[in-house]
Amino acid sequence: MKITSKLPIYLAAAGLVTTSFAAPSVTRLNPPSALFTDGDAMPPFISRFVPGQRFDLQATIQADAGQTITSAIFKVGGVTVPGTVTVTSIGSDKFNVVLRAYSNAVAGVKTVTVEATQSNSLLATASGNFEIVGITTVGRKAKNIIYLIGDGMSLAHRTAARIVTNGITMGKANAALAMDKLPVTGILNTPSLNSIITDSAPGAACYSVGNKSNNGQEGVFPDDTTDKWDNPRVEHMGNYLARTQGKALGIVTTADVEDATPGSFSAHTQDRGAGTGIVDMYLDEGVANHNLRVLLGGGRKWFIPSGSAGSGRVNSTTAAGADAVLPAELATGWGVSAGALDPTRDLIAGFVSAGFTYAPDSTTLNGVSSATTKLLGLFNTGNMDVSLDKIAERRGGTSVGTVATFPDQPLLEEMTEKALQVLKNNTQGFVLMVEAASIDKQAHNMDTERFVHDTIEFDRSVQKCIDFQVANPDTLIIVTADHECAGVAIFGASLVTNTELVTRSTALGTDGVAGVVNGGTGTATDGQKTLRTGVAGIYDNAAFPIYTNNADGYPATMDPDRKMLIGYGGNGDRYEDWRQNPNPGVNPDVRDTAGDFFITGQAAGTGNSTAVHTAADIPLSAGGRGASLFTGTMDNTEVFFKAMQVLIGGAK
Amino acid sequence: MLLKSFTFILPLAFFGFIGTIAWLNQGVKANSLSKEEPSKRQPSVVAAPVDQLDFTDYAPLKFEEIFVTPAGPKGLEYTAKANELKGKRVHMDGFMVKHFNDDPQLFMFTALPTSHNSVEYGLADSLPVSLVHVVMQVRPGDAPIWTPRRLTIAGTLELGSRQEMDGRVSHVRLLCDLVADSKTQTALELRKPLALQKDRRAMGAKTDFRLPQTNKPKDTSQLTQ
Repeated sequence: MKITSKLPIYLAAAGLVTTSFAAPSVTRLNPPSALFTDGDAMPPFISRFVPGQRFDLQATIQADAGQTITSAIFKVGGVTVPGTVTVTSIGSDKFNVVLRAYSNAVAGVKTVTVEATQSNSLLATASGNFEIVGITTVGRKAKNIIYLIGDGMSLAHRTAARIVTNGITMGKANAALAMDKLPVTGILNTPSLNSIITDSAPGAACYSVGNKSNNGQEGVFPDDTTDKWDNPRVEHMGNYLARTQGKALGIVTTADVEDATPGSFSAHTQDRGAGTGIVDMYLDEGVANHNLRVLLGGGRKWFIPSGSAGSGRVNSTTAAGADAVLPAELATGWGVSAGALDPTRDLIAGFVSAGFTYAPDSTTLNGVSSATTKLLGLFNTGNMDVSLDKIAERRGGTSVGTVATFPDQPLLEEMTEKALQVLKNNTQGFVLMVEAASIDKQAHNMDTERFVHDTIEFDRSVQKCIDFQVANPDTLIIVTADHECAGVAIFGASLVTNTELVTRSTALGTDGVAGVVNGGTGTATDGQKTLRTGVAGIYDNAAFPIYTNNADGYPATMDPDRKMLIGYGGNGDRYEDWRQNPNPGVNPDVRDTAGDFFITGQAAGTGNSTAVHTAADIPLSAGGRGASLFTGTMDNTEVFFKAMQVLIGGAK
Repeated sequence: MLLKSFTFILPLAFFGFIGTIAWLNQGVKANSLSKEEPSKRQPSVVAAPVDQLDFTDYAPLKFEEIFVTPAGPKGLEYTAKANELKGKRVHMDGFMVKHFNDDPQLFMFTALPTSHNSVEYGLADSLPVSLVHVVMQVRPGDAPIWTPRRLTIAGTLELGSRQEMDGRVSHVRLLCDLVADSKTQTALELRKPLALQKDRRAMGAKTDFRLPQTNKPKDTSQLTQ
């Protein structure tokens, strides 16, 4: 396999010194495959689709200097694929060739070949493969599917929420979380197409399209053009099920609706940050082609015409936050709107014209009638405030974050309940994605109390879905994440009361200015004594932290006496040289004999997170129709195929 | 040895080049920012210690006084006070957002300490709506560097949409005359040589000096392939 993979390199090297051997070459072939990249025709197959799911065939051709690529064809299984192949020069004698919206109805592993003809009649050809995953007709189909994604939520995040909201007595949880009650548990691997560490775009898009993509990309494969909108597409679950079964699509998030996870269920772009275009796609493609019926979250700034105070719409198709203008051949091939550079577009008015009810706050959301079939809710200009701050405001406390500006934001559980109410009106069923975005965002900030609180908010949303499933048994519930965030670890509990913690953390040193922790007394170990070893109770001393809940279901305080303590592994300060340690039984302090390899966290730096995503597997909990398929350890893309089996073929 | 010399000299030459470009732009930007006579913009030192700034020529403005609160169902609305102070001298107390902008003239400014993970989230953010873009005059080879201190910024208030280089649409800008430590009211210099800003280089801030008269956002298509 390795020798085969290097053959093109040797040929290319020969071409450098002997021009008579010059020939155009294929430098990329989509869908991605190990056959094309490494000459490996064996499983696992990188790209997989369900029968009839549409995707683009694309290749990049390196022509000889001064030559052009005049035409190209794609073959699957040796048979030329009908349709238009568009050839576009992308500079440096490279050409992008693409055939849009291909699909294949027959299960099996397929070989895809591109043949591109150069202006001097020389041919460039290469092959890859993909798999069409068969659907078996068995048992009963699920009518509805609910994806609940706790962004960045892994086992420790769940455990922390359980300890806080339910508590533990004599070694046993006083009650299970709602997600704990789901009967089936799986473990997911999360790498993206280009890294062991995924970001939220491919980490979420895999559930909607069944395939890997590079970090930052939503519903596409990578290509070699700089255009954010022309990448080879893969059809979303919502789009597929809307056109084949008439299902509706709902997207609910506590983030800006432009953010990576919500965008990954409807948009197609190589840039998760292209907010103007992504939200335009919700209306232009989501509503028109994916039967998008519910969109709830933050991000109002993208929906307000440029020039109005508070608008974030960008007058560019290439900058960060870009608007979407699709190539004509793509729009034609997929039968979608080409979009327009329209920063002054009033997208709220556009949704209302399309029949949507608009809710700008929780009061309006609560008043949405049971007959409503289309609902847009935008509750903040950017990300919504987190549940800890929303609850504090509801309890009459101080308004922090943007709560004073948007004092009537719904909780995720309230948005979830309303989304279910609206989507239920679609008789053909629905696909609903509910994201608790700030589990991740607050874990990035190493803001323990806020990410735990949002995990509780998420779990209360899971309970709403379980309640719905009980009343509507043909519903499949999948609770998972897109990746782990921050290397969260519950390592103990505080040895002291909250009052004592306040005293210690605010005490000034002998200079009366600097805090004790900062060495104001002149003793560098003061912080170590007062707030580290003096507070961190481990093993037996951690005991069982006690939190209590108010009538609203949320913790009375996140600062009880002897509270739970959390550390962060992604990536904390420590002594490290990254190499195998020569001797066992030596801790990092001792290994640093030269005192010169203190690591302050690889992600440190202004503009970067202080804690980052990790490659750790993530848990999945499933319940309802077909949930039994989701047991075991699997790649994250498998979730899509199991879900489609249940939705299209059924399950026992 | 020769190679080592080059590795030392080349970065210096690079920053010298950047500085030259910045210097060429400086005059234009300085002019565009100057709405008052330079002599009038100097801080008064009457009845104040020599190293303290005097903001009596600048009207106080709080972040919560910029937009009507709570927000309406669609866009935001400037307050009567903000509209009244538009184009006039104001001073505001707040904190630099912990971020880097490719535009070395700019930093974001908020009422409370805030960080923005621009690498991860881009423009989908949790920044307050009262976000102020502080526009500083270009100093060759320099850019603002984050400080945790509470700051007093004095300058001319500019309202209205403007596309910034990072794609973000700013609505409130403070064309900066003076920067002081809020606690001591003594002058602070926020700009430091790019050569000394390792973090800025490490996180990939490009430090693109804006061409005069253009607010065209930077093309980021090359960064996301």
